[in-house]
Amino acid sequence: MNPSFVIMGLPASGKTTFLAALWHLVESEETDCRLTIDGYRGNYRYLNSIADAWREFGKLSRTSQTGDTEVEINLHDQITGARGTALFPDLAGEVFDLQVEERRCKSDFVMQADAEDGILFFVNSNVKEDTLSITEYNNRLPPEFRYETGGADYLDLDGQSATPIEWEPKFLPAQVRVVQLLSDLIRSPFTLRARKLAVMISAWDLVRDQHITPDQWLAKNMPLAHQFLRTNGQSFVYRVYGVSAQGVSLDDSRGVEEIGKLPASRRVEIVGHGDAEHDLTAPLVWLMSAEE
Amino acid sequence: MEENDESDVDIDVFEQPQADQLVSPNTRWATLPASMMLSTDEADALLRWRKASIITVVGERNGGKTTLVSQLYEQFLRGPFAQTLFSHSWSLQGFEKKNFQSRVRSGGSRPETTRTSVQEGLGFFHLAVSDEVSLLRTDLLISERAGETYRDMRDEPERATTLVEIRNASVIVLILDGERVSQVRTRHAVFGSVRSIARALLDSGSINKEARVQLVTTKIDLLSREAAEALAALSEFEATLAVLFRDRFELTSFRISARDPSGDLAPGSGMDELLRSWIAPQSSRAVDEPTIPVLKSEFDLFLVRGRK
Repeated sequence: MNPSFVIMGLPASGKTTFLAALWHLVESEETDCRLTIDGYRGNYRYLNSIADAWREFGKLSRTSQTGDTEVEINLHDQITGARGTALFPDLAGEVFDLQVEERRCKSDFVMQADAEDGILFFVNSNVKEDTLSITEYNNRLPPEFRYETGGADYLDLDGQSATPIEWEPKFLPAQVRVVQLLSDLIRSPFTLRARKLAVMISAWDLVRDQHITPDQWLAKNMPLAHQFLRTNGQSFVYRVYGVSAQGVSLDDSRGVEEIGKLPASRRVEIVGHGDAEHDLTAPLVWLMSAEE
Repeated sequence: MEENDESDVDIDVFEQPQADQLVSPNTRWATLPASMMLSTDEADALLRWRKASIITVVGERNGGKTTLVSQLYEQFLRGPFAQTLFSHSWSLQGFEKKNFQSRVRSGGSRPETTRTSVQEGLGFFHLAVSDEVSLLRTDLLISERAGETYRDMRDEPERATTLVEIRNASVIVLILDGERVSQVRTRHAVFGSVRSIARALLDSGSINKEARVQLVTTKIDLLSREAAEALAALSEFEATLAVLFRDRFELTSFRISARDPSGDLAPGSGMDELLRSWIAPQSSRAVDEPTIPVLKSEFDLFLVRGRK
């Protein structure tokens, strides 16, 4: 077992926080995880730095500031007894923005994606209404404020007359970016093959009160991505997980004080597919398994 | 509206760096396929990869050709549509570019569609959809060309034979501008325009025999608010055009409202039926019965004896 994973996701989608929490979980053994650390050897400078920040409720350095990093963790599967080294390249989300907007990606990423044993694709649950149409917006307004009542054709955010904004790729909505990134994997220069994909909805604590499953969340909030995954079963075998790797908003001082009294591993929550509540290794186990 | 309270989520958050700060100058890059509207060469490349139906949308400028296609894509951003699911597109960003002026993000206060210029020539949107139950996939290549070109075809019908999207079409969609139908002064002109485009297509023999022809009246929301006489005139025109195509092609009529600015009609009204018709299997109506050669040789006769 020497699996290599690919971690994908737009900026601020929770990739590095997941790695920090994962490292804490497998290293601390505070809670039951299917995968545990198999010997403490190697270079853990990056993992320790992000895990320290995570334990202290600090903000993690963005990968774009520290540079892309490859993380290796020696893991032991407690059920099968298998041992091996898992490789996680931690790429800055901005690199994936570049991929979508400028239609180019790092050659190394093409090689990693061709050799991967599973993809962790992170999506931030804090979605914006970036596909909202003018008609939909108008219909939310009281009649006297709708555009039929007159006024300029183009308005700025303060409602003042403005010049129209020309389209640029930077205006692509998040769900379209996600579909573009996944679509890229089924065209050259990537190798066309079946891939296992764990869609990780991060900051799940923000949507927990909606009482929906992660799969339902994806269908409701990113319908294009959900439809794409449903209809491309030959290319992607997928599962959707909700992940709360921090457990609380860092701006919520009272919440931080409260949750800080618990062992750090208890902050972590993973939802979906009946896995143990705090076992962040569950998606990795599924990605490595033959199970569909 | 995209840049707001990012700090309240449990993720790594800091200010956005510049893209060129992210990578070392020694980084090697791989180029990825474009995602804009497909050129003819790119459409050919797609057809070499998989079968696709070519949907050719024909009509004069401002008739709603681009809005129809753009809204079709827009429907899938909100969920399944017409019992189908979005499956794939090689032109995601092409759709997005055309739709942008209908979004709040554009700063506009009225929904618009980015116009297609003559200089852009022929392009195609790619949209693959799958049946919601069987997941059976259908790929569509939907043509996009400036209305001025089709205006010229009215005046010089022979031009129709030079338009590759007409010759290779699985479905020809004739666009009838409902806004012009709704107004007494422009009604007969728009009927005349569509009729002469139809005649040019028919008499030049440029439509392939297996193609289906559709008359799609756009902006039906405007017609619904007018007196019944506008709708009666439309019904009469639909019947007249069906007669024109009789015995050569079956003409089907649709009435749609892609994007009713008043919000009275739901976005994409009538378009579900239209999309279903595009993905329906080709009818056998136009398939010529193959001529069976007379079997004369001893080898051929083995077959005949075997049947007896």
